[in-house]
Formats: sequence, C-alpha cells, structure tokens
Amino acid sequence: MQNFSNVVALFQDLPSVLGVLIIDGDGLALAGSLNSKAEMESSSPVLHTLLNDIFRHLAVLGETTNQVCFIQDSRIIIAQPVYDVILVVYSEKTGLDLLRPRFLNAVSLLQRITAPDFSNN
Amino acid sequence: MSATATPRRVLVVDDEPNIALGILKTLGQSPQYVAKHAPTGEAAVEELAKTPYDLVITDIRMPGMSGIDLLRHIRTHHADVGVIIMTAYGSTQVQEEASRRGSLLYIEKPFDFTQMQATIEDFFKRKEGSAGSATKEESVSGVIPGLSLMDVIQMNCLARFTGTLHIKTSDGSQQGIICFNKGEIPHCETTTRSGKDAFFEIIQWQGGSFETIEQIPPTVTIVESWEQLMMEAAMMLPDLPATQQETPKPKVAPKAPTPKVEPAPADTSKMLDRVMEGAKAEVTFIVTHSGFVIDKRIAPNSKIDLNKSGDEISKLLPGIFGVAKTLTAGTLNEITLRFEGKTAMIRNVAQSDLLFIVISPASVSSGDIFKAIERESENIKKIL
Repeated sequence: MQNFSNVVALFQDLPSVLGVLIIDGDGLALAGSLNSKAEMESSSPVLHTLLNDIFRHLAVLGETTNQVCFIQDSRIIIAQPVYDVILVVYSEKTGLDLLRPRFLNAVSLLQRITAPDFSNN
Repeated sequence: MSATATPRRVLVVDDEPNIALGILKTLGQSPQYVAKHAPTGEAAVEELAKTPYDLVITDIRMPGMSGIDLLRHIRTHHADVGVIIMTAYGSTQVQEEASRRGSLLYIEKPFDFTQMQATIEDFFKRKEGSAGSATKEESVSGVIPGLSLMDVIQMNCLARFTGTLHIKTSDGSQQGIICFNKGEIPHCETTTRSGKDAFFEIIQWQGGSFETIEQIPPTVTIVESWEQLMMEAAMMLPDLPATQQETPKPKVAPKAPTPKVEPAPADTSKMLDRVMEGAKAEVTFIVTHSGFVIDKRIAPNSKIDLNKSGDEISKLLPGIFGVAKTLTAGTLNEITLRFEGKTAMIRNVAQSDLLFIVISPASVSSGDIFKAIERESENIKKIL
C-alpha cells in the first residue's frame, strides 16, 4: 500500500531538491520534506491560494493547468495538480535533468494514490 | 475636431512610468494628440506653468504631491484644464454618477488603454460640445474653485482619507463636519442634525468653503458604505442644467506658445513581433505587475480570445505577485504554466515592473521562449 510518504521519498537522493510538499484541496500539508514543520504549515496555504488563483483564471479561458513552475533567484518551484492534491517540489536550478523523470514518477504514483475509486458493481 | 485643428494637449501624471507609457502610446496613434508625461505632481505643476494643456490625467496616490494636491492646484491656477483621475478604488457606478454631476472624470485601475482612450475622447467631445456656453459653476469654491463638494468628498473617499472636512456656507450662517475613516464616512454633523441627515443637508448647501482637519472621527452615526451614501445623495440632488454639468468650462484661446510635439514612445509592437517569431508564439503581452496590458499581439490563426485573456491576466497578476512576496528565496522572476497543448511563460523584465507573457504551442521548448523574451528585455529597458 503506497502513501504520500512514498512520493516524498522519491526525491530523497536528489541533492538539488530542497524540499517536497503535498497539499490537499483545503491548503493543508499532507506530507512533505521541507526543513521545518512550521515552514510546511506556512507554505501550504500560500501556495494553495496562489495556484488556485492561477487555475481559476485559466479555467475562465477554457484551459486546464497541468503544471506551474515558479522561477526565483536561487530556486525553482514546480507545482502540479493531481486530482484534488497538489505536488510541489522546491529545487535548486541545477540537476533539472535528473529531476524531470523523478517528478513524472512522483506524479504517476500520486495519481495511483489519489485516484477516485469507481465501482459499477 | 479635425486632425488639422489645434492639437489636443494631454499631460499624464503618474509615478508608474509604464502606465504613462501605455497612455502616451495609445494617444500617439492619433495625430490629434500631443501628450507628455510628468512623473510627479511637482513636475506637473512646472509643466503646466510652461505649456498650456487641455487635459491632465493623474493618479491619486503619488509620492510627494498627491493627486488631490495637484487637482487643487489645477482648479486654482488652471481652471480651464480638465482632469481625469485614475484610481484603484471605488465602484464604477459611483464614479459614473460623480463624473456626471461633478467636474471630474474617473477611470478605475486596472484599465484597458482603449477604455482610457474612450474616456479621453469623451472628455474632448464634452469640452468641444460645450464651447461657447460658458457658465459659472455653483460649487464649494473657497478652497478649490470649480470643484463640487461631491467631488471633494469622493476624492477623500477614494484616497482612503482619515480626518475631518469642516465646511462653511458662503455667508457663514451654516457649518458642519464630514468625518472620514479610511475613506468611509462614519459621521456627519451640522448645527441642527447629525448622521445621514446632516450629510444630505451639507451636500445641498449652495457654495461655501471647506478645510481639512486632521481629526479622528469622534463617533459612528452612519453605517452605510460611502458608495451607498454618495448614490443616495446623488439621487437627492436636483439635476443640474446640462450646461452646468459640462466640464471644463469653455476656454479662451490661449496665447501661450505652441507646445513642442513629443516624440512617439519607442514601439513595443516590433518587440512583440520579434518575440512572436522567436517563440513561435500564439499570443504575447507586455503587462505591468499590477495587470495593465501595455501592448499585445496574437497570431492570425490563434483561437485565443485576446481581450478575454488580457482581462484575466489583469485580474491574475496582482494576486500572483502579492502572494508570491510571501515565498522566500528572492524575487519571483518567472512563472511557466503548462496546459493542454500550450506553454505560457510569464517573465519579469529585470529591474522593472514589466512582464512579458508569451503563450506558445507545447512543442516549443521553454528555452526558446526564454531566449525570445530575454532578447527583447534589454530593448524594453531602454524605453523605460
């Protein structure tokens, strides 16, 4: 049985990754590997608000956002909605070639964990 | 007015150069206009002393001399000059009502520059239509001649003013106060009334003077928002004859020297064309952080609704940069969005509050979009 910690663990051996955060639909941190619990708790609602704002405005234009990447002076933040959670990865600007496949794996695992179950029986 | 007639002279006063740039660029498309930018209220005062203008478009909040102080100066020394106030506050309905009744026109930020152009056109149509029908306006004229009390109240509300306006009728027989708290009006008082009744009494006084006192509102007797109050007040006032509503008053032909024609601002269109080509883009925008669209381009075959996209971007950007300030690790330089079949890159022009927004097919790499933007970032800095 996979859980959110397995998603976070996928990035553990990448030295360029500064932290991972999984945010639920209410802006609460479900799991993460940021330096402190306080940082996780404070970052989650901020990113949730920011991302939802972007998703909402693009929805008005008839577009569904698959991925958002914020580029700051010393790091990048990649965020991707997966069903009703958002995967957020903080990374240095190096090692992006290694990060990309790992990010796709994480999204794939998160999809399996969060996919709604349907049963027609 | 024909294109060969006297030019329409416009002074744009704003400490945000990009907004002024956008207005100048929009006006520069018509040979009728001669427009100039003053970055401060003080610079505007100097410019008005040197050169005659028909219209001043000013922001309310500026460092140093505020828009209200500038308005006071204009009404005192250049009563013929029309004024459009740019404001980030206030409801459109109230502003329209105030514009109809008062001597000012308002435009709410963020605005599209075509909207601004329409407001300017409207001003000149009103001005040219009213030529030859000079009328002395009834107003609270002791301090700011030619300005109605409704204008003064609205200006204070829009500027989120805290303090008290002390008003006296011309003969000194009546006086009252209107208290402001962060732009709301919590209390009014005359010698016989208080609350809303006092407010409605004051606004019906015919002429007088006022002074501003830095006094905190003593009590709350009015619970309605200032917008509601102004609308109710506007409905209570009798309609003025058309000639009294027209502003500004017709002007005598100026004897001042003809102003120099300003060179057209550098052309952002070509920059956008180059970005379109380099990033194989469907759409490109140059916008400010506060959401003003300076210029935009769309590929002929694109199905993107340019106006709707511009509107959504205008609403989205202030929020993004507002919230992003709380993220640590330095400035937010770029946001890349990937959605169905497309990539959108929003990238800062370094050391400015301008952004390029480029939407390209997903087949175009982020690197190509980045390079196309970076090449033009250097060019755009030269015109700031």
